[in-house]
Amino acid sequence: MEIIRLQNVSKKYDGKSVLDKINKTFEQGQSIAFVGHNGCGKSTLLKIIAKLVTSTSGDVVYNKPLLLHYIPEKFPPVSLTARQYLRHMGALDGLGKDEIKDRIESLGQDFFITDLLDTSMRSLSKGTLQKVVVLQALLKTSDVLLLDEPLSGQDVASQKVFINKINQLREQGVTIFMSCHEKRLIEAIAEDVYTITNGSLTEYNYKTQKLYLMILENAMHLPIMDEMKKYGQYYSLKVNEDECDLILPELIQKGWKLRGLYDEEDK
Amino acid sequence: MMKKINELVKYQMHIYFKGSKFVMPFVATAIYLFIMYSPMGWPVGVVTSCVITCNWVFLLMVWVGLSVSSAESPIMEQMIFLRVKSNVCYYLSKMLFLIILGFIVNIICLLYPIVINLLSNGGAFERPLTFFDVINYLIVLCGSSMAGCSLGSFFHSRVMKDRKMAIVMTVLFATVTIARIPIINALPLTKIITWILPPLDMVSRTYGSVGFFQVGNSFKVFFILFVYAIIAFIVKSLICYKKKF
Repeated sequence: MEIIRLQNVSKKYDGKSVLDKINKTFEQGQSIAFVGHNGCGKSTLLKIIAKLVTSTSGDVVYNKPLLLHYIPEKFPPVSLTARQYLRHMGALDGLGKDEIKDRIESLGQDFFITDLLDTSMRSLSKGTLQKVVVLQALLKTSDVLLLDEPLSGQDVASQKVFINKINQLREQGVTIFMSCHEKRLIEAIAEDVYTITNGSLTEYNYKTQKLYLMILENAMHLPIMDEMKKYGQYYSLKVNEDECDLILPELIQKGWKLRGLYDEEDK
Repeated sequence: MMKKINELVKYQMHIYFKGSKFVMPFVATAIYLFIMYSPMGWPVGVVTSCVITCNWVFLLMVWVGLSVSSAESPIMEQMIFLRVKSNVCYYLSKMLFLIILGFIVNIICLLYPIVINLLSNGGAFERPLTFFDVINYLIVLCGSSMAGCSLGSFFHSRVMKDRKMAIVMTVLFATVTIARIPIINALPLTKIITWILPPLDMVSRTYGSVGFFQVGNSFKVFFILFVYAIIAFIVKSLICYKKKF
């Protein structure tokens, strides 16, 4: 079932086009990730979808009144304890006192912060603060969840819990929009990945776009290819996954020596 | 809707009083009251002290309104805004929160002289303080505090991103508001511009040279300041609504 429709959505900042006539329909329960370099418009698109930022032209249409929850990348702490803050958020979500109390306890346990719930948010570390932000978004099941670099600063165990929780929400029909750089999170949560190039939303396929970094030694003083870059005493060369199998034997045959081969993402 | 507004106001109150933002205005008010009603200045005029306190409350609420709106984080606002899902609810709660803060200030500024007067066996004021005086005092103070917080919170970070400029503009507007009568007397043409500022001069014009309150005049002053404050809050909210984040 269609939940959100973008109709010719464009956004300009200081005359520069960030999003250009984007038309897209999103279904209920869909999980979408927006990837791309910093400043390409991922977060802007998230906020336009949430109607927090107005588009320069075009419309965002919801099929019904939606409850959206948002997990921002950076969160300025307030002068309350995590529990007090979460109680207020639960109350604003319309939850009853007992329900709020139970949800805070259960989510606090899941994310390993039960002992820190009564600590002032100003004294919490960045990672713990980010967990509190995640908790506020999970207190009540929303229609849409907006995640802007949601794992920023979180430990590995909490990242796993987070991924499980989000996938559970997907099963319950919650639509997920995520702006993210972390490939592991995208693979674990998103079914559709888009990138924003020159203001347009295009599908992004990790597998076909996968890059490898070859580290080569020029022991025979061969001519250097334009794409090669100095890498310590060696040379590095970035190649697509498909090209890799073709180029590597050629280079070795010419006299280059392979000293390393890395997945560019893991480098 | 009322439940959400109530929760929002409670949330803002909790954050404000858990933080340290209220300490300096509170200390400043304590110093003001101490000086204003110190035995050296006894007896003070009932109406005169009200006029002076109105100006003080106005300035104090400009300060409070400015500090509250400057402390608001856009991210926090966005998260709340998505939860509440109602512009009216959200902006109304912000206005109510500041009005309540103003009311607390008014009560402090009203109770202190009453207590001092009682402790001095009626020696603090030049004539006996009546219940009628107290009611009028409160009505006029409420109008002044509302005008103050509406001006202080007007240059919100979404209305004016440049915070330095927002502070300069707020201080300038507040100063000109306080000194409007002498400014207009010296330069009558400034009337063309100064109408945009809170009509706080109504308090001085109405009660600057009389010894007794008149309930009709007090309500008139309150009504004009109240209407000004509501219009300023609505204009600010509309700008924020239009600009979004």
